[in-house]
Amino acid sequence: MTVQHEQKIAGDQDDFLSTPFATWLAIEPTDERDMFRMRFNERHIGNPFIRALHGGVVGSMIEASAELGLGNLVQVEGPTELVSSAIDYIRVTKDADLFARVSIVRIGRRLAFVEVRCWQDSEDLPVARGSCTLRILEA
Amino acid sequence: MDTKHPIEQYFSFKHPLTEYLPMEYLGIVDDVLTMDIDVPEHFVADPVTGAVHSGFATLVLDTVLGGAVLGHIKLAQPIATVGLTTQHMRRAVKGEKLTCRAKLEGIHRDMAHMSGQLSAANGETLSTATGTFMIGTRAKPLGARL
Repeated sequence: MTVQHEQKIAGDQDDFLSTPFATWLAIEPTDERDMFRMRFNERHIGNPFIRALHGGVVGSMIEASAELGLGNLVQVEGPTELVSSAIDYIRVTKDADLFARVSIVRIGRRLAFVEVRCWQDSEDLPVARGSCTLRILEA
Repeated sequence: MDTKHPIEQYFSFKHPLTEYLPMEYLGIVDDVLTMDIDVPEHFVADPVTGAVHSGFATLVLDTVLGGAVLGHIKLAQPIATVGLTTQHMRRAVKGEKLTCRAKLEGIHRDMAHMSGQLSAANGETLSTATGTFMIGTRAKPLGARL
């Protein structure tokens, strides 16, 4: 990866992380390029009685991580737009930070297929997984 | 007797999440629940155009599909999203007025199968979703679990 590309990745990521949406979601990068963290906030709770995360918040985290992770892991020529996501909610969540790890299934000229796995206590105990399809637009 | 739909009750709580989702329950016709939404600024992912992130549509659809499930079950009990598949077309922009519809496709055993759309004021479909929800979760409050 070139220095210029490293700088572009950092710039794109910083642009996204400064948006109102990224602030609302409280998503942040980690030391690992393919991993992101959602800092828990009361607004992420779906059911106040069992204090589980809202399914849509977990879905938002998966979609945001897919986009950020794709840009971090490979050199994408243009901006990306999420086309579809399919999310499985594997375990009950709790009122704590959520982590996401991104892996790329395939990247073509126009489309990228990305998988995201989320956990709270341990990466060995996933709480959700998502398959996302992203359209790569012309620069 | 409170005749409000459970999703109206959910939105009438001063819940930290619902304060960010300005939504209004419009009613149910032929098993289709309809809510109006004013797109808030908190979900903007492109400050130049004002377009919100696809996650906003996912969040709204999960909320409305799940809320519609609550209206179809006799006993008040918690539900959990098991699966949600969403297709995204155009992103909404802040300030836009949207409509979200949720339809019960069927309930089998303790699983409710739903479908729904998020649409613009002119009827343009922005996102569609199908969701499966488990009725009556066994999740216990965190304090009771190891």
